[in-house]
Amino acid sequence: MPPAAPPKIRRLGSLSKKSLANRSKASQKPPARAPTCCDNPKIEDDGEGRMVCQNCFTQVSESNIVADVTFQEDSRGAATVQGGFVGENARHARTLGSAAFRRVGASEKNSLQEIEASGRRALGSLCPKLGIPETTATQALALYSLAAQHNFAAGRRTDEVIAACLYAACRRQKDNAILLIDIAELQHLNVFRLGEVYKSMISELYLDESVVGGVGTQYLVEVESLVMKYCKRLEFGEATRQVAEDAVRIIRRMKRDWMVTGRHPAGLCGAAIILAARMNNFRRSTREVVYVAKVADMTVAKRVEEFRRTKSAALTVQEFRQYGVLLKDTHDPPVLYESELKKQKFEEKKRKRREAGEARDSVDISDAGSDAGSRETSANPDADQVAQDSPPHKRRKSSGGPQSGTPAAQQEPRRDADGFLIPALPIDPTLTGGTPEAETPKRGRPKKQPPAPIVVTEEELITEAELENDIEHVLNDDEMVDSRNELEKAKDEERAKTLAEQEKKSDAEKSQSRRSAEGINWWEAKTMDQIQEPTAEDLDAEFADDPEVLNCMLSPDEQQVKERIWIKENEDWLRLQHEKKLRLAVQEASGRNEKGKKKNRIVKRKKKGRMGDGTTMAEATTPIESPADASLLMLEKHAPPAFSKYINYEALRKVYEPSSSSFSGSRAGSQTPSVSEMGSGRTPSASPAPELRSATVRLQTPPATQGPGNHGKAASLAKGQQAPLSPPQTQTQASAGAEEAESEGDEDDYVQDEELDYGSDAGTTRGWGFGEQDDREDIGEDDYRRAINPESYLDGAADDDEY
Amino acid sequence: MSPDTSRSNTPNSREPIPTTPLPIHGPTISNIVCGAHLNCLFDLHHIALSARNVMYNPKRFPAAVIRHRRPKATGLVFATGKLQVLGCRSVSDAVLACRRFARMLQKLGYQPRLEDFVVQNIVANADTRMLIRLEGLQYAHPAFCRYEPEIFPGLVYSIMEPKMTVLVFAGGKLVLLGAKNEGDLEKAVKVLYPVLTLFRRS
Repeated sequence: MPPAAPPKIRRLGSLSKKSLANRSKASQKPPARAPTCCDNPKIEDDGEGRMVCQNCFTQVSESNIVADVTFQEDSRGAATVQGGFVGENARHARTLGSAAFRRVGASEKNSLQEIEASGRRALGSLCPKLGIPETTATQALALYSLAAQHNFAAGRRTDEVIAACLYAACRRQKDNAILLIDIAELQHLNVFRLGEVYKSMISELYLDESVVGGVGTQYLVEVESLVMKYCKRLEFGEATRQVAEDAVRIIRRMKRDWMVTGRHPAGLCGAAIILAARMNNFRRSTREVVYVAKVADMTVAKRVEEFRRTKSAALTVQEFRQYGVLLKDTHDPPVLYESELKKQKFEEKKRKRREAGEARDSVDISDAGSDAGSRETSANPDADQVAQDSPPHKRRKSSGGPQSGTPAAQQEPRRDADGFLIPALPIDPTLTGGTPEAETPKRGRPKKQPPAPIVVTEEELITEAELENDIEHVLNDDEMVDSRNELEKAKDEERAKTLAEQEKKSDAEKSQSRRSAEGINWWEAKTMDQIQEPTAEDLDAEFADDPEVLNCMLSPDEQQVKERIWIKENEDWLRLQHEKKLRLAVQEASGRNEKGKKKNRIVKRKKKGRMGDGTTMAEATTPIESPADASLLMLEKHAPPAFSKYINYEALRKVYEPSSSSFSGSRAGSQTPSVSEMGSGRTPSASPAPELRSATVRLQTPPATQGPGNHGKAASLAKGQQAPLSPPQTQTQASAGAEEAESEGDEDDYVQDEELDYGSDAGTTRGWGFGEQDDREDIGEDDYRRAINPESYLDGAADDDEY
Repeated sequence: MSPDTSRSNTPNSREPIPTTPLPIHGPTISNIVCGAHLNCLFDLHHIALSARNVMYNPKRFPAAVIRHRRPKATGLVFATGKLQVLGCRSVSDAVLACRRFARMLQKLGYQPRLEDFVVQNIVANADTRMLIRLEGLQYAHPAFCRYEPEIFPGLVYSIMEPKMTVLVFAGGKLVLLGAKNEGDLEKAVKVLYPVLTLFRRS
């Protein structure tokens, strides 16, 4: 009879004695064969816990684990979804709560989403201030996420990294007008520090095309957009475009004259704008340009000076506009002619000083008339030929620097109560005169006008002269001596320099000859081992006549003096050292080394990547075949080394390694070993600790151990808390806790875990649908107890007392 | 001596380095940093207080600094017995200075034995006597160059073989860093010079 056909349904009406008898027999007859889904059933696990026949695809059985969304009611009565959320761009779910993770990764609180959010906030405040378009801001944010993923942001100040990302994004645009200094100013950062961060970021994220097929270029800063930006801010009105055009032409000309390479673009732009403004009849002072371009005024002035020296500076405005840029002659860069210029200037100064010195020697200081003449000419420092007849003015000599003939400098010398001279205050000519303005090279430099002649009456002159005479004798002598000394010093320096060079040469020759004598060739630089190891006698002989070696020892008196000075300088350091020594001695005497750690050792931590960024898989030395392996590897990498004196690893290994007990088999297969390793690898850190604490108290009195269910009950009795962890975790923790209780039994050790807060996190996340604790009671309790504590079991202690 | 422009642009090609002298001034060594092990523990306190020309500031740096004049050299003596010699302008000078420091320490009462003399860094200057367009160089070799005019006026060129860094300035001056011997210096210059000629003032 084919079993496929369903049995005929017997209606009640057709029931009769005969049919009943038949039916019972039929039902007693054993079926022809066991019911299967098809002819050749091939039942296999389809990887999701379901047993399915591969032939007819009938599902035969299903495991208990469902992938449904389950809800749980929390304390307020609201329904919360059970399970962990994996956000977009996140790598894993926060299933264990931050308390557990604190020891493992400690980085879960900064998930990528949060990083991105903080980056977006920071950029959102920065970009509008700089006028950065939306697209660039998005790029900057993407760069920041990239940086965070590659662990660049960790360990660096966030605002520095964000600023560097923003700058990198700006530099990717072709028409960029934003400089480092702009961003640094807004974020209150050191611009050079920002530059460093930017450079290191570029190289770490491969944005610099060091790898073939890089991610786009970082363009160099182009001057045109910068010029436009500055011109707009300097308010040229209608003529802005014209001014900008002229400025760009000037910069192009500068490029050809080798003034641009290596220079800060802002300084060049500033100088060009000043000149272009003049070309268009605007007047912008250095100060205004400095405010806009954020460079020093000296820089701008120097650039203008350098430009003035080029050939194109001699053209008129019209000519420059037409063909200035096209001039063929290129000027040398300033670096080449600067040193010459400086030498020349120095020579000039020396010459003048010499002449002035000679003049002072030869002249008598008495004539009032000549005084007047002298004062007039002394106002003009260039007219040194006339100075030969005049007594040098004291003010001019002592003030040295700005000699632009300020009348204020020619006052009567002031004396204080004792008759000593009060020296004149060095007056900055910019305060008294006018501001030094950049001259237009195109219009020619206006000639320096001689100062107006000073009218002085005779009596004044006489009285002043008399007063001056007395002072001038003394002072001039001193000054003479000083200036003579200065000249001599300069001469001596030169002599010394030439001598030094000669000595260098002779030394080099000597060493060269020594080298060739010993056969040392530069091209095959021998190390010390190849050269014969010098013995003490060799050394003695070699340096027998070396003055440095001969005189290297200090005499006893000198030693004492040096010692006194040194001790005074380093008093506090010596005290610190002494304290350290004492502390060490005390520790050793008491026999305890605090925490077994060496203090003062700066352990350079290698930057650990975040969990889930793929480096563990990439760098794995052993082959990874299953998720268990992978998670094990990751925990080995991220978790602190599995070494705790509170855990009896032997017993744990006995429990988990053989994996023959029903207890381990009842859980979802491959997870257990890794989970158990996790449990053993971690010091008691997670929320079960409070339960364990109470559990350990109880464990003191009766020698019996408790099943996991008891833990839960005890905890709930004691504290009214709910276990926040999923069962496998708590089981291992509980076992660990039990182990701890057995081996150490010291309550105080758990106080260390106070830092972790259990209140907020307990009860928020739940495991995979296993909210109930009572389930655990049913599972292999006896085996469990036996496994963790053979002795108590043998004692036959009253295990039922705790219920 | 016109540069051979037919060669490839990349500085790290495997072509033989030419033996004709290049029209360069230098490279002249300006500093050599080398280290040696003296195999003996030192009491820096005692050295500092009993020897001339020795400076010891433990708060700032944990070594005694000895300065000698001819040839000019500075020695850093560490308590573990390591010695660093800085400031010499040639390797033989450095070796001589090393031996002299050892002799000096011997006179102070220690028994140093010179071992493991290693040149760690040679810094040299060179002048190519030509103007170089750094922007052009940056655009052509972005993988090797770092040029940020806002931060530093020179271009930082990283040579792979020998592994060195060269600061290239617009005026044609070079600063070579990271060489371990003079041969490295010469090689670096020979590798870099043809590249620079491509960007010189025409």
